[in-house]
Amino acid sequence: MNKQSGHLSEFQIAFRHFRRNRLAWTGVMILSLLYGGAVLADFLSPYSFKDENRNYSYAPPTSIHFFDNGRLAWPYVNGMKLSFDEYNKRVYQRDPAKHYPLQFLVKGEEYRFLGLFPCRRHFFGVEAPGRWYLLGADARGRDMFSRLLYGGRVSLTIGLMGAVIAFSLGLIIGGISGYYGGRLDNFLMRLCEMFMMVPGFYLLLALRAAVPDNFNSVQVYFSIVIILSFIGWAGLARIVRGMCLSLREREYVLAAKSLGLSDIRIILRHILPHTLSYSIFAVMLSIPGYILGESALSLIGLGIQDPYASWGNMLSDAMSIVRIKFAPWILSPAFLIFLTVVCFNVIGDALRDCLDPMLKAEGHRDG
Amino acid sequence: MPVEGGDGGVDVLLELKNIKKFFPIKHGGTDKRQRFVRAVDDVSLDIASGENLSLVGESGCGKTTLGRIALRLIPADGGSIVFNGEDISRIPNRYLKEYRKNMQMVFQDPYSSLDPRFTVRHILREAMTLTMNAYPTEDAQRDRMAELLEAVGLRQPDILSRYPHEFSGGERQRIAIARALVLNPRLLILDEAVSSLDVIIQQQLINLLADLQQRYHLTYFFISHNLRVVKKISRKIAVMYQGKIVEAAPAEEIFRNPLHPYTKELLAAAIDYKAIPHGRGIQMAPKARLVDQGQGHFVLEG
Repeated sequence: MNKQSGHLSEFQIAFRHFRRNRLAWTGVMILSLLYGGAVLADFLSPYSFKDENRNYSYAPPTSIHFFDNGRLAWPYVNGMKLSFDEYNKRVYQRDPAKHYPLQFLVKGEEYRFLGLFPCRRHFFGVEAPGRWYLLGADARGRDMFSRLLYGGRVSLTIGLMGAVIAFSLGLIIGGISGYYGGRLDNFLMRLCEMFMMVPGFYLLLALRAAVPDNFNSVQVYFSIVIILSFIGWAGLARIVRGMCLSLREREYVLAAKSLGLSDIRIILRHILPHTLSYSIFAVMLSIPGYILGESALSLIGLGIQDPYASWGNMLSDAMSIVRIKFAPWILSPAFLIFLTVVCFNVIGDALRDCLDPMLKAEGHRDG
Repeated sequence: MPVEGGDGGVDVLLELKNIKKFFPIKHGGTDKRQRFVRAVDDVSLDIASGENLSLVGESGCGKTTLGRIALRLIPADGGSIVFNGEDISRIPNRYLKEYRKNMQMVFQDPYSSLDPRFTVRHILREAMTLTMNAYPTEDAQRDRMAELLEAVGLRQPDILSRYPHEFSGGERQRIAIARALVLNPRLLILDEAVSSLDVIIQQQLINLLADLQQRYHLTYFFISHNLRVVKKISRKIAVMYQGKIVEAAPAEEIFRNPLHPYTKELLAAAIDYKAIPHGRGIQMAPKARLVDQGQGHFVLEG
């Protein structure tokens, strides 16, 4: 609304507060990087998520060299020679004979850029016979870095989509319940309690069991989103309902009523917007839950199926201590999950701080 | 309370007949009987077109409840509401819109009666969207807003894009009045509309209300706890006490010759700032009726 005239809505004021919080801004930046990486995954990743090469099983991160025979050179990688030590453990050795310069916009597997037009150029990489692993390889010789980017598409969006659906359900059901009250309220709240009664993870498993197992990956993805949001809406609905109970007694709601506005309009325009300051940070803080939920499902093999990547199913590779010992890079999805969760929490906390004056101010106006 | 024939056959705009509203009290312990607060107990009032009726009484006597019942913001437990000759107490909610256009309310607290997320433009436009036919174009809407803001005495140039928190209490109340006038109502229910403001602003607003009444031919139903406030603007005053009307008379008559003990106390408190000596000591018979004392002066018997 009227930004030019200098009159700020409370959200604009809150946003100014938010911008002053450095930690939260760092979180926003990191998340933007992660989401940007996920969006541009096919372009940024040197290889496709299913591009496997068994010769490079658990290959360590390739080192990038800047000096060739003591002279500064364009960054390059060497080839790798696979051998086995006396315990039959794979050992990868540098093969100085093979010399592959790192290239920008290198030709690789074909994909559709942003899903629009076909493209073969990848942001960086090495020419074909050479192979390099920025963050090492997994059991089947697939590039971890590429798979992390592709996995981000699933893991990062599932949280957002789950939260958005749960959020809408919670707001609408909580709003109706709080505004009308009475028997409808009773019914809806008992429904909420039914969902809240069952421990989350068991409900997750039970709902997942109800999904047919011949679904393709996209269907699995959406069924997981729906399952996750099914679990999440009840808590928000209860809180929103409580807020609506007090909001509906506000005089501006009565004023809207006496103007003759319809109930739906009053709920949407005069009641729910006032629960937003709370719901926004509640949702921010709930997103990590969805990400972890998906990871947990994928980790035990009920979520996204191989060869499709998600941070959760990439981690299922890291369930054995021995593998972690010899190939610690397979834990990198865990680091990204951790980073994402921390970022969302930091942002959620900052939002709470800067939306709090709004909550307080509204409390004062109760008069 | 029958219509006083002062103007000679004025038509009755709003007629409240035997309105009752009982609120159940949550009971605890072993007592299983449901108890009620008799918030409004068999109250009848007439408001003639163009007239100013003031309803005064202490906090909690049921006057706000009565005002809200008149608008059907809350349902009555008994009695009927007749607006402009039509009984609107039983029509379904979806038809109420038509009647609400003619009856608007200005609320007590200007800090909570304006949605803090709405600019003045949005506040006023929201009301206009209900009468799309009347203000079909942006220009028509803008003209109407300008007219209303001018009428309520708000003249700052960029007022439409401001948020409620940028205004003082008096200004907010003016905005609330402007909003109530958007739909061209015939009756304005002013629920303690000036009570939360300081005395100077109160005076200004009362003068404003008097001007607006002239300009838009309004009828006022003024609800207040303060007799001094209503003295200037009202032609008739009804005194309410514990859910009942205890005295009703033309304004001068009430001030000159209060008959009911509660009215006397109220006057003493309002005019001379005397403490009410025996607040709850006034007894009222459950079936007491208003008795005509002549010259449109009615007093609860007993």
